[in-house]
Amino acid sequence: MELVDGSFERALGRHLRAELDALNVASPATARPYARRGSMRYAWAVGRTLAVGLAVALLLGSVAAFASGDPGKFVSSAERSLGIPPFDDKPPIGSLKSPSSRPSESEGRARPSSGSQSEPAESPTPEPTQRASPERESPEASPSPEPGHSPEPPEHSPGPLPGDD
Amino acid sequence: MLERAATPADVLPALAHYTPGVPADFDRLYRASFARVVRTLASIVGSLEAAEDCAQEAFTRAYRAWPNWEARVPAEAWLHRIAVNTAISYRRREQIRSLPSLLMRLGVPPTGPDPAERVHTRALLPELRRLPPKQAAAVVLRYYHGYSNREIAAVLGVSERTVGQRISDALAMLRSRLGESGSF
Repeated sequence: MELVDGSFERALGRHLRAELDALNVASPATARPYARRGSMRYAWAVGRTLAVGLAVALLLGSVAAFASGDPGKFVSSAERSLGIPPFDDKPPIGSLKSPSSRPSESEGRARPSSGSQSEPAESPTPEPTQRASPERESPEASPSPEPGHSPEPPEHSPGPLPGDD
Repeated sequence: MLERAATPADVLPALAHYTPGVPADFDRLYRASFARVVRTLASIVGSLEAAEDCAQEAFTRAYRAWPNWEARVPAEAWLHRIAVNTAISYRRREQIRSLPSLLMRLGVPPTGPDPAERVHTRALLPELRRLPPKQAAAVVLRYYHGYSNREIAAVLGVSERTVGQRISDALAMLRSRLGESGSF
């Protein structure tokens, strides 16, 4: 080789040694950083792969839904695969509020009455006895009611109406 | 006639005895060779911080491969090979990363180095960094570690002729940039 042992090579070697030896290299850590770093890198690589996969799946799914023009097809197939009732069985999205709000309102109204119906079944003794006992006591106290007084309608007796409270 | 690449066991003396797969031996190798590996990498990647990062990555790779290390190959030569490959990958990644800024600079008149920076930075390492990484690795193994071409060929896994060509090309480029006299 023509450049071997030339002055340039000697100067190169001298400068290289001087510059590299002048670098303040930190002493190697005793805590085996290579092992720790490997596990962190592994976790980072796995997490990054999962995140990228999820992003690609979402992107492809949205593109496919947009291209087909019927997002419900993919949604319903996914629902079926997950065991959820298909989307077609549900009311349409536009009319979802009014029918659902009505039953909820009617449920809200019906709930106390049904509760009052069910309450006696759950706890039959307290309320009828508390309310009925004075009323019944009075007929018992005066077994012969006055002829002008008509007895209270029987449907009021089992329990109070919601507006009574 | 085609040259056969010499194996490291043919040319490099075993400096210490290590057992593959034994963590304590890898710890010894790590402590013994960390600074040398960092200095080798600094001449390829250009900065000490990047060299330390590359060295850590190289030791991580080496630690994973440590059970498969063949004891007939000197451990430090094996380590240098991994480290040089890591530095080459680093340089490639860095080139890709710097591509957008390079494109943004297209058309802008080139600016010279900052005079203050020129005073404080060393002359040779930035020039080595401008070389192709394989040439820089051959230069530093030759002129810093003092390996012969045959030993470098064994470390890098190439033929002696390839090593000679790389060093010759690197020296020609350095001479044109630094001056013939070597008074850089």
